Amino acid sequence: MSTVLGEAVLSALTAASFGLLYQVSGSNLLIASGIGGVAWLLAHGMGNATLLSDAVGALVVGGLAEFAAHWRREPVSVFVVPAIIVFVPGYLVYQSMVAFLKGHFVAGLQTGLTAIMAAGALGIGLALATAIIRPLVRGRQWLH
Amino acid sequence: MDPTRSTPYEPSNVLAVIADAGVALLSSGAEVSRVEDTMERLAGAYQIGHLEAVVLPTALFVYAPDGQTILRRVRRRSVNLAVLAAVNQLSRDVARTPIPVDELKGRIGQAVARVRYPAWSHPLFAAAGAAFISQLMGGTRIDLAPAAVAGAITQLVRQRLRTSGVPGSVADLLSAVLAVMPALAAAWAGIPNPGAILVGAVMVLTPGLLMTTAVRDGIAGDLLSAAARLLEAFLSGAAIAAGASLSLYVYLALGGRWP
Repeated sequence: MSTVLGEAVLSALTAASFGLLYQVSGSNLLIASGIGGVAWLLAHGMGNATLLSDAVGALVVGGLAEFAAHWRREPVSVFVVPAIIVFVPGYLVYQSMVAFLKGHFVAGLQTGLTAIMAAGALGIGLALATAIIRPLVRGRQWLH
Repeated sequence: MDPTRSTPYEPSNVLAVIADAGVALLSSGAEVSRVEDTMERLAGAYQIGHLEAVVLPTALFVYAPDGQTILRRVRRRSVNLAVLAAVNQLSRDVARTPIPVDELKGRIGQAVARVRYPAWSHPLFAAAGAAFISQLMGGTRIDLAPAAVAGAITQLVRQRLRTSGVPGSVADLLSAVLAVMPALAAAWAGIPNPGAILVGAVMVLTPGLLMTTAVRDGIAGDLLSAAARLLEAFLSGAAIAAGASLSLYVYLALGGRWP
């Protein structure tokens, strides 16, 4: 559990760094960072990293960002984009790449497909957040 | 400057300023529905009437009821959430209390030039981001410094290429080629998990905004834009992987050690 907490802190710090890189500032930056931390905690608090944890992470990021955007009257992207970075399956793509370069084609295909599935899980999580949580937060009003 | 003065403005001029606002949003990565919504809101504020807008990731068309049509091409796209937030806020303010068109034009210009942090600081943010990600990707303390260096290099190269007008995917490829160098040096020196350094640096290039925007466009029903942005994200990802593979392949072919 303590390792998950540590990782959640790292996730929050990563979100803050990328928020700064994308020109987010002030209290919005703190909120984005917090969303990154909480999402990691909820996604990985229940066990090992799976496709489910990617989907849950993206759903939490997207859902909390909808609330934050409504509350702060800012575009949702301000909160989603910095916080989602840690869930991008970069390490799987890297493993797949190295396997292919070393001639381990089956392993490369396997990790490559897992990476594609992980990206899909991410997309599903974000899509669910937009499709379900957004109308709950805003009623029928679509934007902002 | 008198907000109560009601408009005898040149309609074409107003429409052009509204299109400018749309271009500003689109080129900093806004969703199609946000661009359309903002332009319609501004059109309502200046009593143009019902605006028809077609917004694609690379162009936008606006048609006003008086027959004026404006077409704008969007060639440069980047991630600047400050511009997104500023234009969004501006359109709300203007919808509540209209300001003269010239002032609106000036304020859109200010919003576009909006960079909250100076350019020299961006590599530092990228360095921090890469260092933290390397820790999440199974790295240890020894990976922190090389990952930070790699992140800073990646961002420096990308900034330089972006201002020099190199096409986006070529810039991604070249940035990825150089992003991998510190990880290769670390592997050469015998660090146990150079992959964490590599991933940390390459993540700086991740098209995260494109992916999120593509999903949101798809949900909103802007299918052309969703498909185009997915394609752009895919091309960008492929270019990054190709660049990183190129460096790593040459390194392995030269007999380099990689765990």
